[in-house]
Amino acid sequence: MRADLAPFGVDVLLALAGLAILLAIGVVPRRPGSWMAALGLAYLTGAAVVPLALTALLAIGAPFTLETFGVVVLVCLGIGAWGWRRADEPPPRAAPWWRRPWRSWPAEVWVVGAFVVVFGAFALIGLRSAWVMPLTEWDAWSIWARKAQMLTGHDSLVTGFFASDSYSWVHLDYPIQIPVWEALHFRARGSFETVALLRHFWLFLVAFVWAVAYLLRDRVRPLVWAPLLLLAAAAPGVWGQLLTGYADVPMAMFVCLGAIALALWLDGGDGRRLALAAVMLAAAANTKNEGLMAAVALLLVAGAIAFGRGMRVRQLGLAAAVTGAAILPWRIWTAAHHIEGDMPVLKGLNPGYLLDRTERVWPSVEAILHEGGDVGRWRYLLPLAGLVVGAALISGVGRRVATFYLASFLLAAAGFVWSYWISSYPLEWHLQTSAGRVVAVLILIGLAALVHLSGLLLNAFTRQRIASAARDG
Amino acid sequence: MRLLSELVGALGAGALVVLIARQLGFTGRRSLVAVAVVPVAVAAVLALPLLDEARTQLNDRRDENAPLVGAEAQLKVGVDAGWAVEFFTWAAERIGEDETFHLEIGEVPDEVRIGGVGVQQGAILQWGTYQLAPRLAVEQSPLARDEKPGEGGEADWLVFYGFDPADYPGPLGKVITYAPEYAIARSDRAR
Repeated sequence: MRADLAPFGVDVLLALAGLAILLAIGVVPRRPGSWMAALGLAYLTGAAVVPLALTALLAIGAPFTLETFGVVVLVCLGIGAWGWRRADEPPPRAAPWWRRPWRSWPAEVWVVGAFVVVFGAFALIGLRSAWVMPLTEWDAWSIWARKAQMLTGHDSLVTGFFASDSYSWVHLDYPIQIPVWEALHFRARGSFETVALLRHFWLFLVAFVWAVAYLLRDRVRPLVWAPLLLLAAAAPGVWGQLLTGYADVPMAMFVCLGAIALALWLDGGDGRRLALAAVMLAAAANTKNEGLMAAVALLLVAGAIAFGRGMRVRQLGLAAAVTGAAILPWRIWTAAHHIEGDMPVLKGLNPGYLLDRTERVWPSVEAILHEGGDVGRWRYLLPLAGLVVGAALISGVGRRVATFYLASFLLAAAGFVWSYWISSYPLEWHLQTSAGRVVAVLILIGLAALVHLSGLLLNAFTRQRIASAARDG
Repeated sequence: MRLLSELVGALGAGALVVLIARQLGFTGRRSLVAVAVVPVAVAAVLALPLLDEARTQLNDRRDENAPLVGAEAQLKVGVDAGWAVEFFTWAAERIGEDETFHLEIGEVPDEVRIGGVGVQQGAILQWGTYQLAPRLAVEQSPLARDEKPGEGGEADWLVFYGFDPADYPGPLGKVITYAPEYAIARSDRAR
């Protein structure tokens, strides 16, 4: 029992650390009553920040132990307390809904209540299933869990593994955000038992849905986000792939939250969202190389739009610098140990090299389109996102946000095509083994657009209806 | 091209909503933003049945996996593949966690080789090093089967999987046998 519960203690501490960071950057109000609603985002923020910090500490030779984890959490709590003290926040204007008679509760409370019941039941069923699920997918045990196993059995980035030719097949260059997160759970458990791992992966889904709803709470009504997020949660490409133990879906979740935070910044210029975006994109980039590519795409597009609109590009530059700095320790450590990735990035910038292998481009485009349109896995998320992006662009409602999501999606997709184009692997094998997973990032960027823009469009529709009714009346 | 056809379908539904909105008296931008009704309506209609479908699949997986306990679940991949997981468990009990090993894998019948790498041997190498971790493998060629005489001499232990230790082209310490062709031996350096 203790072995089963102790790893959940890690999750609680990650959520507390994340909440403290959110308080420090001002994304969550100081009122404790509002913290519960932010818990999903807090968990993912903790799962982003703490492994980033532990990766940096590992890279400089600090021991990887539960004590070090405890110190990192304490530092996060200290930062949170500092932010909490200095924040000057006006008191809420009205009494919270739960202090009012239930008959006067707004309809949205009932919608959220129904959502909590339905999604809560699904989350519990999923947890019950994940509780007994063994880790059987190849890369999940051979790459990700193996690295976590080494971080559980050794207190450092033991070079006999992390920089050894004997283990070249585990992609030594891959960042270690997820192995660090996994190893914390194994250490808390006291043993490397992979059957106890996927239940914690499941928490990513619960926290993600909770986080998207929380982040967009001021822009999107519950009547809009509730069905859309339920549809996303029901997509086997999301929940099924998450339960393989691969890093793609957690990475895509970080990207999605980073995209929403950037879109909110573009929409309102609120620097606090930008700070959150930096955290999420750093975590994505420290999870997989595709996450780095998506983060670069999002930041470039946000920069271009902000520049075009005369927004404070320096603020964005600072966020990009923070993102870059956060992932630097791992990159420096791998470079210092002469670990090279499989991607010939420099060759990929050489026009001659690219021209010699143009036959790889169209099959890559086709494979990404094919996988993205797999209704059996992703339901209808991408076509529905395409519809609202189109409506926003034509109507002008949320055009800046729509432009951001569309351009980010296209740039990230182009980046993935480029990676297949320059890859030294046989194309057919490479596409077969990765396109279905990699596309998760694009789908979740699409989900961000779908929820955000549906909310903006329907808000505009309702506002106009009220305005015209007042005019007619 | 299925994504494009789905997109065309979604745009068609959006166009229909615009037409209906216009019939209802909404004009211009108002009829366009009404398009957002489509995803919300689609999600509202589909989400519950799809969640129920996911619930069924999750319950099926639970029923399938619930009988697996402890080591059975931990070793499922190796057992399903037919690898000698008991041998690796036996070897792990004899090799200290701070010691190193080198894995020698014998020829696998009907082996398929891609780029010089035996697919089965490569898989056994990955599984064996996983089951023996956190003990570290040394001098482990990605080609899995030892092509270089005496490779593994730097390891504390040599682990023979489907490989007769007598065929090892180098000096060995005492050989501890689990079964014919499944054994561990102190390396010449460590004995």
